[in-house]
Amino acid sequence: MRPVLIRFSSAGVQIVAMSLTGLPLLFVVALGTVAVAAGTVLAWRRRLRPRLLVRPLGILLTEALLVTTIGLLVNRSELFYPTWADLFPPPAATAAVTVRVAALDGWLGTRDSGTFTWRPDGWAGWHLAAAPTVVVPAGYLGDPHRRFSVVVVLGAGGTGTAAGADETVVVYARTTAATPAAVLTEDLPAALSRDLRVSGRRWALVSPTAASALAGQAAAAPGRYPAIALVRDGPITRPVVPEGVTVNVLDGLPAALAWAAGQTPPPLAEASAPAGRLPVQPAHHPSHPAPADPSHPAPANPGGNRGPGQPGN
Amino acid sequence: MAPDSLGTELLALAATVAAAFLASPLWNRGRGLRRYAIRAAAVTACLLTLTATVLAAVNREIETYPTWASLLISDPAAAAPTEHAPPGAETGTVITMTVSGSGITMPMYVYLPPGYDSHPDTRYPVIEALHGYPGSPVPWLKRLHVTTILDAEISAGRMVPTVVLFPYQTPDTAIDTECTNLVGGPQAETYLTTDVPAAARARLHVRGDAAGWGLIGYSAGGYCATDLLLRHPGQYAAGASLSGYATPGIKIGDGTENTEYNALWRLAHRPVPAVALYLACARNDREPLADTLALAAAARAPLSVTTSFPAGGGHNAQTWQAMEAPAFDWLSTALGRPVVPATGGAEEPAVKVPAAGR
Repeated sequence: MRPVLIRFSSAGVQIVAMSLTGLPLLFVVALGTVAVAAGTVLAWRRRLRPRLLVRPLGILLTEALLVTTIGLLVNRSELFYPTWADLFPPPAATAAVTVRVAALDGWLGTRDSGTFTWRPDGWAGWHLAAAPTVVVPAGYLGDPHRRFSVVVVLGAGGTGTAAGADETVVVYARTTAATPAAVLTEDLPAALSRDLRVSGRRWALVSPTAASALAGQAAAAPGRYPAIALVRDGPITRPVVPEGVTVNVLDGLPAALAWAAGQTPPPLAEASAPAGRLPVQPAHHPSHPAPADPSHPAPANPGGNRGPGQPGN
Repeated sequence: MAPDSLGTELLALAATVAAAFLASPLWNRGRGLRRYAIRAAAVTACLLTLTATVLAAVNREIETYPTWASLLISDPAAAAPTEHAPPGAETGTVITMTVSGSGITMPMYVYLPPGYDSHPDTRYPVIEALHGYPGSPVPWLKRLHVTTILDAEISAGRMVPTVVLFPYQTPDTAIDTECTNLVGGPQAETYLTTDVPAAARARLHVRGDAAGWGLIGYSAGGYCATDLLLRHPGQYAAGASLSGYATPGIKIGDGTENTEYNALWRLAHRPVPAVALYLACARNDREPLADTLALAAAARAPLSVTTSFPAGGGHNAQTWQAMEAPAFDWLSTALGRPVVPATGGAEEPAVKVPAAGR
């Protein structure tokens, strides 16, 4: 039962609910406090029967209205509960979100091996030495409700195995000196997100010394590659990276793959969706990847949006 | 009967009603000065009992004083309630430990995920959960039901088994630290970013590197999560702010509330770290919403920002409870996995992450 305001206008009589933080409700309750307090004082000396009931009820009602007035004042100032619905919320239901099937999931089910040469649309323009090799972990198909982290191996190296990187998709990207960093931060993640159930953020790079500059450039993009494993293959050139990006030098590809995979999340089911949200700006919540649509490539980062004002967005 | 219990609130309410009913028959008792003394006592009793009822209700909401000791000696160190959930296969455990450092000694609640005890070699990711002001970590456990939510998210595979720390943020409930180092006051920032992690690494099997450490907080704790993440990217990789602010809203003592401790100033004037920030705020939560929008607008590479704006809710526990699960899930996508250190020291991924729940 919410207090209402009756409005008289040329259109007739309107009955509208009083706002929880509005002045009308505050005035009504404050006036009520004064009136009940005055009434209690007046009734105090009168021979009203039963006096033992009228007096204490007057006190208690005054107290209750006083506390309500103060509560409304504080709430009007701090907006703890801006509306009646916030004060008496309906039971919140968290929507379950399921991971959509990726384009290559069905095809992978027909094969014995999880290793394949990957030729996504547009790869020829990525300035690679050859089409990338993708290694899908053994548990990928048996875990159809989860997204997998990705380790991208730069340079020509690699044997096409994922030894060391358990539960992680490994991409041997065969980058060259001509490969732009945007391939690693935008094109490849967008294409891989269409073809496989991969995560939206926090992948890792494995790089030979020769590709460390490219790795550093890729790590400067938001949220994608916060970790770089440099494989020791001669004098080490540490890439210049922003604070927050971890660079580790490791001996051998298996050790580098293992360390890089450890920097990423394990396979995860889709995050819970927030209840009753209504974005005030164009924003994709992590749990709502864009639907697969061949004419509109899925965003590079289905796990979230970048805030407005960020470069490359 | 704890000061935040329903029993205490009902007792105070009963006393308020009793005082009102006693006032009437006592009003004309006695003669002369004695009569006035009785009347003054009756009025005082009415006001005191009413105040007690209101304070008990407010304390139940924000849990500033979860125990009588915390109320009487103003030092949370000796005052942590000990309510431990029994461990189970699908449920985590909450333990209490004391953390000392930077001149501060305070208790801390720790959520240990399902499987923690049976995987002593696994080093788990860690999230520090920060509370609002005034308040204590207790609302996380009692009002936001964090253990139930963590158990459910981990069991469903939406969240990685994670150790969650619930530290106190001020050694004196009357001092609002906003997780900063106050000039001439508590060094809360050092305590939270150095002493708490050191204690966790020493006494729990958790990840030692920043990839495995995240932050979450509501209200003032949301500011803390944003601020500590931006100021300590060598310690934390990700943070989630629920209805948080961009500034501490207090005086630090040297004016840095307008510069180094102002997240918007930092984003404009300091190198931006490569960390991930999650900002959630109800659309009708005026001041935090303005701050959240300003933070999202000021963010630039390599900082990554994800936003969520529920339609309603306001600035209260129900709203944070609704925001909790998506925020914890997001943190799992922004932190490294549980690992088993290989012989020789280097950390390698755990052979099988004890997530499952399928």
